[in-house]
Amino acid sequence: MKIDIQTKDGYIYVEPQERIDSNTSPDFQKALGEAGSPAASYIVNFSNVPYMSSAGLRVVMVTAKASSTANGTLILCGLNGIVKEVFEMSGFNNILAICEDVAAAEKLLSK
Amino acid sequence: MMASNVLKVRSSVKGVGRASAFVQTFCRENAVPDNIASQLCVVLDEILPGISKITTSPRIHLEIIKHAQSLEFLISQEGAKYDISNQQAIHWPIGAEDSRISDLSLQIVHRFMNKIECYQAAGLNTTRLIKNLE
Repeated sequence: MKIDIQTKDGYIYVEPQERIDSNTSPDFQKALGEAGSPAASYIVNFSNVPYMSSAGLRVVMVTAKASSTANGTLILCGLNGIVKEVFEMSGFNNILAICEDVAAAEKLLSK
Repeated sequence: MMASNVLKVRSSVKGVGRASAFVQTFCRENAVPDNIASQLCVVLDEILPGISKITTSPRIHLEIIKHAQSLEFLISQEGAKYDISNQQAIHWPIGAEDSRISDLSLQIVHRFMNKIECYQAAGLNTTRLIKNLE
C-alpha cells in the first residue's frame, strides 16, 4: 500500500494514497505502528483515500486507543465522500478528533 | 442494454482484492458513477470476509449485472447458509468497542444497497444485492 509518512515537529503525518480495505489495512496498520512510538501523536490525512471499509476503521480505532493510552493524540482530516459516510455510520466521528484539513488539525494539536 | 460479468475467487483476502478490481473495472467500462463503484467495493469488502469465515466455502462466485436502472450483484457459494437479508438494526453510534464492528459491516451493506435477499438454488447459497442507479 502506498502511504506518505513524515515525522514532523511533535507528530507523525500519515497520508494514505489509496483505498483502505481488508486487503490493504494490514499495511496501513503496520505503517502506523512503525512510524512512531505508542506515545506519538498522529495526523492522518484521508484526502487521497477513495474509499474505506470497516477494516480501516479497526486500524484507526486501535491506533487511537494506543496513542491515547500513552498520552498521544490522533487527529483525522480530509474525510470526503464514502470515507466520511463510513465514519458517520460507525459513530466514530463523535469520539475521534476530526478536522477539515491539515492546517486545522495542526492547530488543534498545538492547543 | 444489459451488461454482465462473472468472476470466481478463492475465499481469501487476496480473493477480496481481486473482487474489488473486478468491480472497479466493470464499473469503469459501464460508466457507473465513481461514488457507486466505491460503495460497491466497500460492500464487497464487508461481505466477502464474512462469507469466507462463516460458510467455509473455498470459492466464491461473483456476478455483476448492469440493468437500465440498477446494478445487480449475485454472490454464490457452496458452503453453509449465510443470510444477511434480515440483519437486525443496532443502536448508533456503536462507540469504540471493536467487537461490534462486525455489526457495522452488515449495517454498511444494508445502508449502501437498496435490496438484499438470500436464497438456495442448484446446491448454491446466493446473496442477491441490488443497487439503484438513480
